[in-house]
Amino acid sequence: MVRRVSRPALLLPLLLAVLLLTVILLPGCRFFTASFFPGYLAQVEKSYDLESEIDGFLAGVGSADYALRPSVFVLTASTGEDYGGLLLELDGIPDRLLIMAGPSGGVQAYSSASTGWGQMHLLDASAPIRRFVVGQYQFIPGDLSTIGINSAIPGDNHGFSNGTYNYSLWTQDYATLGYKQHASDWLETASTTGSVGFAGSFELRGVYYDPEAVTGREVALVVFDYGNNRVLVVFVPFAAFPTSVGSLSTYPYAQFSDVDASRVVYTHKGIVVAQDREAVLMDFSGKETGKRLSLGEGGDKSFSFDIEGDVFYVFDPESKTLYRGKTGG
Amino acid sequence: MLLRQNTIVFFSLPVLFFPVEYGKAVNKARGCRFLLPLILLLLGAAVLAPAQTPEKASGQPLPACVFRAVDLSPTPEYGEYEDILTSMLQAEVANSGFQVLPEAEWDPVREKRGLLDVDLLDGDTALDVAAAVKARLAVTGFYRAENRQLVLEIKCYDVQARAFIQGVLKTGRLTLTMYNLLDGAVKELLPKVRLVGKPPPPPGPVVAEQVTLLSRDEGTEILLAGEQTVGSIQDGSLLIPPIPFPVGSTITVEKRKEGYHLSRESLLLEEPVQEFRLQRLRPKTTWGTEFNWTYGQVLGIGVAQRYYFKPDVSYAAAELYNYIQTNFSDSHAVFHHDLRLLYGGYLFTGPDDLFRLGWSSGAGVILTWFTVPDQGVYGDWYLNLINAALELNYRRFLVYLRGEAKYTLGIGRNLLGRGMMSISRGPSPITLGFMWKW
Repeated sequence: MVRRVSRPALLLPLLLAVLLLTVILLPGCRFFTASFFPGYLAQVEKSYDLESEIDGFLAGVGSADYALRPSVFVLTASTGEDYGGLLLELDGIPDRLLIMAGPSGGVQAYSSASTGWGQMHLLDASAPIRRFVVGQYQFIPGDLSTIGINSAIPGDNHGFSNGTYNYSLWTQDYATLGYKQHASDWLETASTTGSVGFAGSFELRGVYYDPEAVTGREVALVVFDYGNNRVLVVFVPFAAFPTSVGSLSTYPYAQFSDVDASRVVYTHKGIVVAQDREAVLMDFSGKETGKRLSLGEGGDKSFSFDIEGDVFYVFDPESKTLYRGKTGG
Repeated sequence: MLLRQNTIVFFSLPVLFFPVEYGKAVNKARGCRFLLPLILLLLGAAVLAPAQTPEKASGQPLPACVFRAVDLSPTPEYGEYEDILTSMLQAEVANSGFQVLPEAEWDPVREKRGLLDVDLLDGDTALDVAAAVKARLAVTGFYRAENRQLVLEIKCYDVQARAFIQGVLKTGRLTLTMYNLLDGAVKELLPKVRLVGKPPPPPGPVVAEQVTLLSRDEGTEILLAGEQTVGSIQDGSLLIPPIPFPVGSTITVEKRKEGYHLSRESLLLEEPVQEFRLQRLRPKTTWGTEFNWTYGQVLGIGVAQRYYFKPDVSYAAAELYNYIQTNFSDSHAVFHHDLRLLYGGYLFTGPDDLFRLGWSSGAGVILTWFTVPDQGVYGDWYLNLINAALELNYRRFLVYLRGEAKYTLGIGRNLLGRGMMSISRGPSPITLGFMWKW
């Protein structure tokens, strides 16, 4: 009788491989798109290397050690072309750097330590050519040349324009919102205030105007609820502006808890919320649509979308690069 | 032991009684004629020492029937030895612990049945007579002396079992060498005779009589216990020299062959005659070519080359993993090329083990370029802090699962910044690999 010492079956590695594949394939197609690198890289159509502009700015303020606080926004010209905006603030000093990136690949950088900067950014109702407004600065779309500061613009407010009027909004006493209507030259034409209507302390963090939205939901207000650490996106009819808005609690809204209000973006396709190193597209009731865009390591990257939800801009502070990409279907 | 002592006495006595002219004595036939009875008497005296005693369950000696030795010589001149030989046998049997029945008990039975002494040399006849007197042992014998040659035969029977126990047939010259002849006869006869009436002895340990090792590794040297070379595999097998390993025990063989790892194998002996198919020796690996595939980089494949400083123990490796990143829908592919250098080894396990726990560490860079134009090339330098791998280790190849911990340095124009590399969602990155050894 021959005693055989047991030999390993060749089937074992095959079984291990099948088991492994079964486990990792279960989550679905995410398996194929999972990457150590940000998912948006595969959507990128253009990138803007801003290293020289940023390094030059930092050198100008005397130190490269200041912590940068970037904010990204998208401005869409009346021609439909989108422009990426990056406003860099530095902790502790008033200097700001604004970089505007055009669709042709050109970049314009503006820096100043003086007044005029603010969170206002929109395509205003100027005639005959609508202008980009950032803070109190006005720019001509196309060559991005600056016209200069228009002191009539409430640059620290949020705002939107329907092409005829400009509207500015602000928070008052953490419980009231103020609304103003401005003519195309930014002269005030109407003003009123209205209660937030929800209990607690609130602050307006963003305003989006979507003329193609469902009627009655053309204006989306992003407000932060300090007491409950939540963000509300309240849908207000454009017709109510500026004087008939009233209490926000009377309008439909979506809410998101434990999210960064500066990274909640309204688009025509839904509301984009940054969660767990991803930009997640929610529907207007606040539920996930299943569409995500990976932001990769350093998931606190600043990003924004155009109002249609077709184009995104992401700023990567590591490479000092602003990426423009398409979201895809 | 007692028999051996008796033998010593047996051999020493002639020397004492015949200290002179030994050569002359053996050359004189006439002298031998007187010598033989004396030798037989001495033999009888020599066996008088106590021995193991066959007893009934009650403790009494078993009865034995020692029939008269028969002289079958062609001439009557050696007839006088009948009584001597008979007496010697009776003394021998009695010394072995039996109660020798007197002739007065069995001789009437023989006469009544019309039998001669020579008829009792037939086993059945002797057993019938012995059974009639309720003997337990029957002993018969004859001798024949002719032309200075002696033929001696003694037989013993178990009466109750009606079985032949033992017989001896000796031939020799009528010289002093007859001492050896007679002594040999007694030696052969007594051990089994003493077992009559005793319960069978308990079985002793069974030993492996023949162990054969089968192997496909021709020329492999085999050692037992790591010390004693017992041969090498020739034509696919090796018959281990007879060493009385008890059945049920385990032996450890060590296998050695140039270019292969030394290997030990424990073999359980289950049968006296057994063959073992030895595990194949593991060749010493100097080079290994890898192909691997990593979760998080699934649309690609890696190739690596290992060089073992110490075969199957420690190595350096260069690895290149090329993969595509895409989101499929309205996506532009991004190409990544991960190049790294590793140094690695193993923990707790040896080249023979089926499962091995491996580790490696090193550094590398991931080069990235875009399929959309004018995007430039990025480089993410990283430290591969530690990789832990579970290897399924075969002779010529291995398959492994490897977890990896990489720390990007965030230097130069990079995409990942500084920190541990990880995937936003899903399981931790893991690599499935295959390596061909050569």
